[in-house]
Amino acid sequence: MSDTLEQHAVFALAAPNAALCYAASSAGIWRWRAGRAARWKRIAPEFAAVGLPAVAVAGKSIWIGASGDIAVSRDEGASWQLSTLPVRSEVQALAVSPAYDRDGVVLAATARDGVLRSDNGGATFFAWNFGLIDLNINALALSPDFANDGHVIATGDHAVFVSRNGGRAWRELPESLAGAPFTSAAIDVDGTLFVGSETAGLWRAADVASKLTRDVTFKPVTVNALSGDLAAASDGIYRRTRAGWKRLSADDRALCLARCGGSLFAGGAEQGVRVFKLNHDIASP
Amino acid sequence: MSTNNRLRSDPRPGVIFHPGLLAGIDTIANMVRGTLGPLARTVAVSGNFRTDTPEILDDAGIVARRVIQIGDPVADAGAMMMRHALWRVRELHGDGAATTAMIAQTMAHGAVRAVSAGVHPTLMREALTKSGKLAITALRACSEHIRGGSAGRETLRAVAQAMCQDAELCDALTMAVDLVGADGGITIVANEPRTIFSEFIEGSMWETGVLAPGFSHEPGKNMVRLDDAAVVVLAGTLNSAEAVLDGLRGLIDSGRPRVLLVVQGLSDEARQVMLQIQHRGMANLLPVKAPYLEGEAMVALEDICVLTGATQLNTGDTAADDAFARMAPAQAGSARRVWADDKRFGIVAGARNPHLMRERIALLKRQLDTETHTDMLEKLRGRLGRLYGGLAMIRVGAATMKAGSVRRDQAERMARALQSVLSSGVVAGGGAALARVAATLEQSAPVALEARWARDIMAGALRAPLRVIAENAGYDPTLSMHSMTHAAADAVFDVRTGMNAGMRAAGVIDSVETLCSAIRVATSTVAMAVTTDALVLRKAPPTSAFP
Repeated sequence: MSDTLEQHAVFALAAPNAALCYAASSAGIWRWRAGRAARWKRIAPEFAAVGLPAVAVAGKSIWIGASGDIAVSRDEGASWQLSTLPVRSEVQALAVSPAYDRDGVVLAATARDGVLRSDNGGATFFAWNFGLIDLNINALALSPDFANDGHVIATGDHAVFVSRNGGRAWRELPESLAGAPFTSAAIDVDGTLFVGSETAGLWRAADVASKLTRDVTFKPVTVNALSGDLAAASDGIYRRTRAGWKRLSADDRALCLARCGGSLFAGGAEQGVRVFKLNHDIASP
Repeated sequence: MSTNNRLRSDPRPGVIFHPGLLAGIDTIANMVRGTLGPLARTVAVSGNFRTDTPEILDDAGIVARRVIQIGDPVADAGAMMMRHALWRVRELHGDGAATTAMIAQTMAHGAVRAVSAGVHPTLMREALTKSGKLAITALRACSEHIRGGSAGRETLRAVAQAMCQDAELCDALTMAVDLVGADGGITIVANEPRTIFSEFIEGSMWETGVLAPGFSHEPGKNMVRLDDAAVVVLAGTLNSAEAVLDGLRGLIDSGRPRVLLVVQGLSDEARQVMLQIQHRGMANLLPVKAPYLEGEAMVALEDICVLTGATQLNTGDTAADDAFARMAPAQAGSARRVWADDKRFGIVAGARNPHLMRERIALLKRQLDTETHTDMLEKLRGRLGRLYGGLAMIRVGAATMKAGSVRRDQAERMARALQSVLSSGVVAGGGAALARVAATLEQSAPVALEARWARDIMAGALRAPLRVIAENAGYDPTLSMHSMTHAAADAVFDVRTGMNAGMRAAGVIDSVETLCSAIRVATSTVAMAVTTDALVLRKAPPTSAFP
C-alpha cells in the first residue's frame, strides 16, 4: 500500500501562496501544489519517520520543528540543514516574520525553553525570555505589521504574553489567567488579538496593552487552532464576521488550519488534510 | 524627646506656620527651578571643605538631597517636606523631581492663600486630594502606549535625549530597555576604559561563584555549564561526607546525575567526597555559594526555589547535613541550564511554577511601591529582574572617577525613567499635557467653596512646569502658554525651536507615570503642609543623608 498523508496525523499547515501548502505530520513533511493533478506529496524522505509538530514557510524557505531540533531548507525542501539551538528543545510551533526578506526573523515556541528567536533566517536560535514566566509555549502569532510594530503574542498553559520588541521581552496580558490553558493565537490587521483556550472558548484584546476578555459571540469552549479570521473548534470550523463568529462547517476534527486561495485546508489527527471550498458563509468539502 | 520650643496654634489654623513653611518650600523649589526643561541650567553645590571643587548638578532630586538643613527651623520643616517629596519621585522614576517642585510650590502658595481667606485646612486638604485624583485620571486618559518596533525605539530614544545629552549613554540605555522590556533587570557597573559596553545575560544571575576549585569538567576552563540539571537549595554548611553520599545517591539513582548545589559552605571532607564522585564520572556536580542579601539571607534562596521548583531543604534551624541526607529527589528543582564561574552563577529556564512566580512577582511589586530606602529599592529591582529572567549589564566608563560616577548615576536614572515610560505610556512633554489637564479641570463647576479653590489651585499648579520651562529657555511664559492654547491636541511648545510641533516629531515626550507621581506627591506634600498646626522642634536634631 502506498504511503499517503491520509494515513497520518497532521499537526501544522503553512500556505505561502494560493497554489502551495505544506503539512507537518506524524510522518514528515508534505507538499500540495495546485494544478490538475493536485495531491499531497512527501518531500524530504529523510524526515519520513519523524513526527513534526511545526512548519513555517517564507518564499522558498521552509522551517520544520521537531522534538530537539529545527531544520531549514532554502530551496523548497530539496536540501536541509539543522539549525543551531541553545539546547535541544521540544519545538511546538514556528512563526516567521511577514517581512522575512528584510529582517530574517523566525521564532519558535518550545515546551520547556520558552521562545527561541533567530534573526539570521533560522541558522541560529537564541532564547529570548525576558518576562516570560511560563516557559511552556503552545502557539505564536506575529502582527501583520510586525516590521513596524514588532508585536508578537505567545500563548502558554498559564498565561498569554505579548512582546513589543519582536519577541525578546515579554509581558503577561492582564486577566489572561482566567482562560488558561491557551492553545492558539492570531493577530488581526487592525491589531486585535485573539487567543483560543482549551477549556474556556475564545478570548480577545483590543491591542497589546488591553485586557483579555471572553468573546461571547464564539460559543464552543475548546479552540484547537486559529488562522487569520478562521477558528477550528470542538464542534466545527468558524469564521469571524462583523456580527461575530459564524460556523462554516461541522467538521470537528481540525487541529490546524490554512487558507490557500479560495480553499480552506484543515489538518487533523485522522484523514490527513481535508479541503473545503470557501464561500461567504459555508465551507463545503 | 526633649523640646525647647513648642508653638501653639493661633485661632486661625496654620497662619503662624504657613509663611515659614512656604519659605522653606520656596527655598528648595527656587533652588531647582533652573534645572527644568531641555534648555536647563545646573546647580553648583559646594564641597565639604573650602578647597573642594563644587559639585555641578542638573538633577533636581540630587540637588534637593544635598540640602541637609536651612537656618530657620520652621522654614526647615517646609524645606525637608519638599526634599523628601522630590527625592521620592526621583527614586521611583529617575526623573520628574523638578516638575514636582514647580507643581508643589505653586500649589502651596494657592493653598495658603485659601486658608488665609478662611477655608478650613482639613477641607482644603480633602478638596486638593480629590482634585489631584481628577487631574491624574485626566492625564492618564490622554496618554498613549509606546508602539513596538522601530517607532517605539525612537520614542524611547527621544525620552532618553530629553534627560541627558550623552548620545553614547542614550544609545546604550535605549537598546537595553528595548531588549529587556519594562520589568527586565538592568545593572549599571563601572568600566575601566572610558567607553560603554553592554552585555545581555540570559536567565537569572547571582554574584556568588563556585565554592571550591576542581569542579570544572573541561580542564583549563573557569566556566562550568550543566544542561538539564537538578537544583538543590540548602541553608547552612555541608560538613559530613556521609550526608553528601546519602543525598547524592538518591538523585543519581533517580536519573539526575547533573546537580547544582546552592549551599552556604562546604567542609573539606564534603568537598573531597564530591570531587571523588565527580572524578569517577558518577555525577557532574556544581556547588555554588548561596547568595546572601544583606539582612535577608533567605529571600534569595526562596527566589531560587520559585525559579526552579525546588524545595528549600532546611531553614537554618535544622542541620544542613541531616536535611541533605534525607532529601527526596522530588525536593530538588530543575533547570535547563545552569552555569557558574568563580564569581557568578546563573540559572536558565528553571522548571518554575508560573502561579508561584506570579505571586512572587506581585509581592515584590507591592514592596517596591511602598519601599523608600534606596538600597532596598535596588535589591528589590534586582530580585524582580532575576525572576523575570534576564539582565542587561551596562558597563559605564568615563575620563575621570568623578565623571564616571556622574555618568553611572545618569544611566541608572535613565534606565528607571525609560522602563517607566515603557510600562505606563507617554504624554506630550514640556508641560503641555499638564497644561491641557489644567484646562480640562477648569471646565468643571464644583459647588463647594473649597472645591472651587482646589480646582483653581490645581489648574494653576499644573501650568507651572510649562511656564518655568519657557522661562528657563528665555521665552515669555505668557506667550508660550497662549501659543499652546491654540495648538493641536498632541502639540508641544518646543523651546529648542520656539515653535509648536507634534510631540513625536519634536521628540518632546514625558512618562505619564512620572507626571502622575509628580501630581500625587506634590498634592500630598502640600496637603500635609497646609494642615500643619503645631511644630515640635528637637533641641539637637540628628542629621541624615537620607530623606
